[in-house]
Amino acid sequence: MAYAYKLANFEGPLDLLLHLISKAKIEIQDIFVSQITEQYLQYMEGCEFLDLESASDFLQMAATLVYIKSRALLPEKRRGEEVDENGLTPEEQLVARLNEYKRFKMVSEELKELESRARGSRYKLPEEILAGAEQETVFTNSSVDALMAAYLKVLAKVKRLEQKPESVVIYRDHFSVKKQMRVILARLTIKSRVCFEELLSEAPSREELAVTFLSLLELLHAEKVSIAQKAAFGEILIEKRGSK
Amino acid sequence: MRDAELMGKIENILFAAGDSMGIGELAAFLGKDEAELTALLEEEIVRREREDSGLVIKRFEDRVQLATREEYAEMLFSLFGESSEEELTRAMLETLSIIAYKQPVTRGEIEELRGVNTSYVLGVLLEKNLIHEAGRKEALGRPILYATSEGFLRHFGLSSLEELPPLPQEA
Repeated sequence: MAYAYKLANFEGPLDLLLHLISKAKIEIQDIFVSQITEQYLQYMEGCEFLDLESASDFLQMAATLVYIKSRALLPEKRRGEEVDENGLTPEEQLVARLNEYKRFKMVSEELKELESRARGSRYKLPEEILAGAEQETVFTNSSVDALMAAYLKVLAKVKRLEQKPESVVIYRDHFSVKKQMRVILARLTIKSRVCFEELLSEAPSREELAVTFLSLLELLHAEKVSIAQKAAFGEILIEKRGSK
Repeated sequence: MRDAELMGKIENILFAAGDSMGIGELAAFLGKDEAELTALLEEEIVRREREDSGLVIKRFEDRVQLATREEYAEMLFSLFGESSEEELTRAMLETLSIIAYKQPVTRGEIEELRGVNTSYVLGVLLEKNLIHEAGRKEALGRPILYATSEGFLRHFGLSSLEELPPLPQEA
């Protein structure tokens, strides 16, 4: 846990490396002839408490460091072969990245100072008159009495609403998916192919429509029927599976 | 010579606007030549800084805005408390400095430099209006390019990007 807390103080693996380098009082290019890799790995121990995202950034750097360390064991001839598009070895790449990162880290500290100075200036928000001149509410032909009457009316309404919460009657469902599935299957034993509208009563309620549609999806899922639709919003044709 | 009437008009416009106004916009409205008005405003900005005038005019590239004097920062703080503008975190400052010096720049390029995922930070900076999207890079995946905005200049008290401190030399 202690390590996770420590890692949270760094903006990333490069930041941690720069910290270790400055603590060891060495130059960036001397990183590979120092104990920095070991110290970095020590920091990484027990960091499973970190969130995955930043943990992967730190782990990637750990892998790079260990890889570079292992390269040092190889004979020099074999080592030289591996360069990137700029002709840099992994060691040179890392040193270049650290140098580049350090420049921006330094300049961001200067920005921090500019920020605290600039915080002394305050600005005001745009005038509201400019923003919504047309939406301004203007009362005409009104008096204090009229306003009072309107206010009392609102008060009375609020009181009424508070006293009697509107009662709501919940009816039992007329349709169930289970029942409607049986209806559809029964219909399909009589007729091999029906369209969706045929399944509904003459003036279907929203409930009937929804439940019938759900039942159809349920049957489709159970692979009891197959459906076809020629165009969007077009007629839905339903066919019994295995009826052919 | 200072045109007191013209400056009075501009001060009133800037006060009512609150936000920054484009110098070109002001010139067109007041029937002035833009270059001429820019020069006049430059003089006025210096005059206000030097003399003990109440509010100052801040310039952000080709826009101007009325602001309180930095000398009165403490007085305003004791009267109204902290400014609504929050201080930025280190991650935001790092990301902003990369964007400021390398703009327009993609998220990938920023992350390559910082060595960490930066998508959250970019979201916050966009929300705070410190950066804006500046088109797409003609590269694989056409990634979004980011650049600093006027809010960036205001936040750091800069008139233009040229006033940024020089980037330290490579070691």
